[in-house]
Amino acid sequence: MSDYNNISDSEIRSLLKKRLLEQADDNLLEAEAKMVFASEALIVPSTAKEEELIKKLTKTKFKLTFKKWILPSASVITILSVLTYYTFNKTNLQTASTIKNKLFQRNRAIKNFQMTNWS
Amino acid sequence: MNKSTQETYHLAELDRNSFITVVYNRYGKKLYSYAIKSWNVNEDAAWDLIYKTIYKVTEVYRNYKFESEEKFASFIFKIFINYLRNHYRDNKTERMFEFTAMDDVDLSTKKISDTPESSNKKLIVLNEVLDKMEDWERMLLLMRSEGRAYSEIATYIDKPENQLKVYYQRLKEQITKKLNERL
Repeated sequence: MSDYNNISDSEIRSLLKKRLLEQADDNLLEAEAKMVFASEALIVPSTAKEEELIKKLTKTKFKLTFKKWILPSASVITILSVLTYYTFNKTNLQTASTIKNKLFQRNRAIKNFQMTNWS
Repeated sequence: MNKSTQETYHLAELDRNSFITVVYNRYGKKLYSYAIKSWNVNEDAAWDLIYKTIYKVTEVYRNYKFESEEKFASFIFKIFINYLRNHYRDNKTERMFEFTAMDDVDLSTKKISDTPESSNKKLIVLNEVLDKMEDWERMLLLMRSEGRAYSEIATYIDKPENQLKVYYQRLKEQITKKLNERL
């Protein structure tokens, strides 16, 4: 009976790989990781490609710093500047309007006084 | 402790660029070879996977605490597998594995054809068997099915080398028996 439906090594391997990708099996993952990292690499990558990769990875430092610090800081500064500008402008406008009103009222009072005196 | 022996996850506190280089030398090279050899990924895709994996590791590893180098290795491997999964999801036409078992199966006596349905049943059976296995048994099944020699497997499993073949045959029989019950 065991001759029938016999499962081959490569089939077991395929099924294990399928399980590795499709299911979150931490035990299998750890065992596979142990196997992969314990032995030496069978394919040696080209030095040029390796250098290119390292260069690309180390170059991203600015990108990381930009994303982590510069971009948020710039955003905060911009928002604060806009808020300050509008608040300051509004206050100025209000002050100007108050002064204008006061002047207008004073002028009117002077005019009224002059009119009363002349008449 | 010098850089060559220090745990990788401690190196980044010293220098980010060294960390990247060490991660690549310790893990990236092996993952590159693994991606091409075990998963039939083309060279460009393999480099892309390694880039994404190391980039992600560098970005997020500080959020985690690692008990050992082994745990750190599992962490890297998990990230790599996630990207590999995405790669196959995005490139559905690529075949990651084939059920062309020609090595140790006598096709003349093989009753079940490898239709997707039978493959799924095999996967279900394998899952059931794997769930009940001990760690060393899982390791044995994994390494032997990958074609590793028993002498090599014996260095990772605390069992006598001459017994490993017997254990492996038993595991295969166990799976076959379950398969016969189901199919």
